[in-house]
Amino acid sequence: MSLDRAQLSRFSRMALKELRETMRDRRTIMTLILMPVLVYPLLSIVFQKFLISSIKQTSQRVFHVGLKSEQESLLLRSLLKKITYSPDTITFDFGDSHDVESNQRASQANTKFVFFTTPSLEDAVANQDVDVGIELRVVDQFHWKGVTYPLIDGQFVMTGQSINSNDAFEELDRRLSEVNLFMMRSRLDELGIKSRVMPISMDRKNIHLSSGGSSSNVSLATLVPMILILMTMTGAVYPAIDLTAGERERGTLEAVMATPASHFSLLFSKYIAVLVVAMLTASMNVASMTVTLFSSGLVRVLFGDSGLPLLVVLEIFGLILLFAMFFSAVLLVVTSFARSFKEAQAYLIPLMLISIAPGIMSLMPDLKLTGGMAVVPLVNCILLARDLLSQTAQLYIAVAVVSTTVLYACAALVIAGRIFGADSWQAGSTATWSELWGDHTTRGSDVPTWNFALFSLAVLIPVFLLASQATAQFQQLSIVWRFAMNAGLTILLFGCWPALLARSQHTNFSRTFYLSKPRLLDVLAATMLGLSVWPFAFELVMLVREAGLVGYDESHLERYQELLSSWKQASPVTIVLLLAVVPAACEEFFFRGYLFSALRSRHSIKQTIYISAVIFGLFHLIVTDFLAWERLPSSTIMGCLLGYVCYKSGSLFPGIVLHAMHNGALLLIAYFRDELQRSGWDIPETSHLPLSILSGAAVVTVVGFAALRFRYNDRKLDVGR
Amino acid sequence: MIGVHQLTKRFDAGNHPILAVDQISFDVRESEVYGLLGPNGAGKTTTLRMVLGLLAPTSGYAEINGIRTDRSDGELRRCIGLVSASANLYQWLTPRETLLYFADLYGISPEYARDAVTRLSEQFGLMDFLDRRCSVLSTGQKQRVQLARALIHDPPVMLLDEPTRGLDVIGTQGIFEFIGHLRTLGKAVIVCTHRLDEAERLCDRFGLLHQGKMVIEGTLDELKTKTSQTGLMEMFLHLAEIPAIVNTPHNPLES
Repeated sequence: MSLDRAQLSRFSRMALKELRETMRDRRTIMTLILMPVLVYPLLSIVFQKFLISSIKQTSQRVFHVGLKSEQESLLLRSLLKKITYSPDTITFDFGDSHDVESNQRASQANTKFVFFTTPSLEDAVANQDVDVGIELRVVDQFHWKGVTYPLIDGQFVMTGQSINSNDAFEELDRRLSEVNLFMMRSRLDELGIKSRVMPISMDRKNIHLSSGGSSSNVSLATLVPMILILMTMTGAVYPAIDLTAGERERGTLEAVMATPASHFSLLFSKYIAVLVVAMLTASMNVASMTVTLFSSGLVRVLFGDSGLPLLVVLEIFGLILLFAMFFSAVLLVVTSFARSFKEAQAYLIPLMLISIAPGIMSLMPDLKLTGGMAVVPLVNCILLARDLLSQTAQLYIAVAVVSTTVLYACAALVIAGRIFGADSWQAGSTATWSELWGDHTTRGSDVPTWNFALFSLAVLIPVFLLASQATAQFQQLSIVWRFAMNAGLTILLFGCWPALLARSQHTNFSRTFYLSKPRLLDVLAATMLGLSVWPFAFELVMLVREAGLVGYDESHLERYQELLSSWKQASPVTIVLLLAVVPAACEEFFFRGYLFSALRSRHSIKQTIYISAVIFGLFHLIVTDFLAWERLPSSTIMGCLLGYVCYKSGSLFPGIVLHAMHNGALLLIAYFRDELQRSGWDIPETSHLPLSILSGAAVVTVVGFAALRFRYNDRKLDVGR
Repeated sequence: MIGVHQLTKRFDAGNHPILAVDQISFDVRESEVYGLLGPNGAGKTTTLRMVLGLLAPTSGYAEINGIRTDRSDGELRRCIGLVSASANLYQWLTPRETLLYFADLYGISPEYARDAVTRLSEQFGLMDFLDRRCSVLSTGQKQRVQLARALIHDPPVMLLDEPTRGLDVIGTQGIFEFIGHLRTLGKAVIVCTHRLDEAERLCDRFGLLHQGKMVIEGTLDELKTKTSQTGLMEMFLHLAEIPAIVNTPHNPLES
């Protein structure tokens, strides 16, 4: 589908009309301007009050101070002992020199220091084991009134992100400065020495807390993206309702639907308007929040002395754009379903609550943004924003978050476009679910539509990942039962789910899933390929690892070894059946069946094979709680091969055979690794395969491929554009 | 130009399916004004929506210039202009912005659209309020904007669903004069109205609907002959008693 300049220009005018209509409404302006201007100053006041009250609640403040050695600890304590605070006075005690001053800082009388020795001050502060670390070095000594005093250089180790750390640093710095000042005053008075009169010279080292620290406190920095995202949601809500349900209620939709403009273009112009308003709201919020944070001094409490780098602000802004893209589409799904403004509001209240719940969950400091979390909508955006703020975000996780969120946004738009369909101007919520799923334009046609395939994918991937993580919790079950559960899950999601969608769309099952009877030659060729391509897949994984793109770490390899040893409890037949045959059949059913036929209905065969292979590769990239980058190239190439086999054979079954053989070969090698080793077939786990295996496999692969490539009676896929 | 063949629409409202339109057939030619008349709930609006392709018929079909509206990909709608009583204007937009927006929806070039806006503004007297927000316009002004909007793409077919609802006598007179003007432009017009006096004066042929059925159809003279009534008003009143009449073996409307 290509758009020429005139069409783009027309579409931009349509979007502009929607935007104009929304922006002229004072309710939008209220949300856009008034809310951010009021909310953040109020929040900052409340936040500061909270901080002050939480500090005042403690009658005596105790600071934990870390030092590297007992000698340094003794030195510091002896220095601090020379000053005694009472509520009214400060007493200095240096041998013969005594002085008493009135105490202007009565709170210091309630301060207590507890000293610890620790080998790494940075780690101790980062883990918040101590509030502040102090490094002291005696560089010289001097005599004064018959007493020898050390000359000390040192360094504070603290973090500006912790209120306690800040306060401990300030308190110690002040006390040591007072020692300096007292001695300077005394010596100047008595001796008039012009050389160094300050015996102690301290500077400060501010270190950054990592998000993976063992802190039990809620990360305050997480609140920032959380609030921004919530406010973005607030900004998008009103235009989304007004431009869909509101328009239906006011009776302006019927005339629009009577025009030849496509429903999707109408909806998309509304989507753009909602997105723009959401982003304008976000911008206003960022501006108001920035001004408030700087003017109230909270920026230092939240982000430390370094403040907030501009690049991080831009990254957060990009993330909010991404989130707004997703959430605006979700909003349009809901509001397109409502007949009136009131009905839309009733639907949106639960949606907002559902959205806030994972947002609050993401405030938990121990919640890490792993492979599984990267696909959970909303949570992934907030956690990524948190990691961006703490500058600990990982690129590949960010890529996973961005790509899955874009996928969800597309899927939500597809659904919204469907709801905003032909009967939307009058049917609204009276439209049945079957009308939603059924495709009027292709009802009774052979293959599923691409937008439905996209939707099925957007549902399938997160559900599969979350369900896989859930099944992993059943550690008390035997290994066979756990494998059976996984197999059942695979059947449900990759078998039943596309079958259900195909049925609801009234497609031809045989043509959607390529269920024609395979030819013997194709099956034989697929068998040869299935038994011979695994060494190349293995080698590719090794090459990617050598290139430095590694998703597995030592802990994953250990878990893998544990898993392998537990496999021995099951028979090899069970392993092959549950881990090779069932996944192969089901994945083929979805990827080379439902998805492939949907793609083929609007793309060339080459594009179909490549797109389905990339999606297949990306699907294999995500492994429970991390991203296995080394699997991406091999899985994608495998997807190309399976797509090619499906195309050439015109049937799903040879691909299932190939896939099952490939999986089975790898599994059996892992299962019988020890036995193979004893028989002289040493197949290494972490290094390249012997040349003999590779050359043998190459011969079989070439023969199998040739059997497919040069078959004389080519029946190929007959479903095309 | 417009052909309606055994058009039927059944709505599924839970356990009570509603037969809104029941196998009605009629046709409208160029330069002809067809009055689709009937009491509230007779199925007039549903029929127009099926002709327009907004609603899918349960059975039967409507066609324009031989192309079925339920099988068209939307392009057929370029041939149709709709004025609906239930339709409203965008309150935050001006008439000019509204007309240009609809010109875009109909795929008209911006240059042509600007000319059309000027022409229609002069024709319907919109100039004085062309750049005021629609929310501040009077009912009559809004209805004139609606008419201009329906004609922005100069369609050969016009569907007018109660175009005079809420208008005073002068406004109504203006609308019906305009409908007469559409006939002189060669357009095929279907008009649904309760203003029977005006319809009688203006329409070339009539279809009287009752409870989704086409009870009677033809020119005014044919209708008078069939019903032995002197005017549409009498026929209408008669129509209201139809449940009692249609059960009799000698229903005059079925003769």
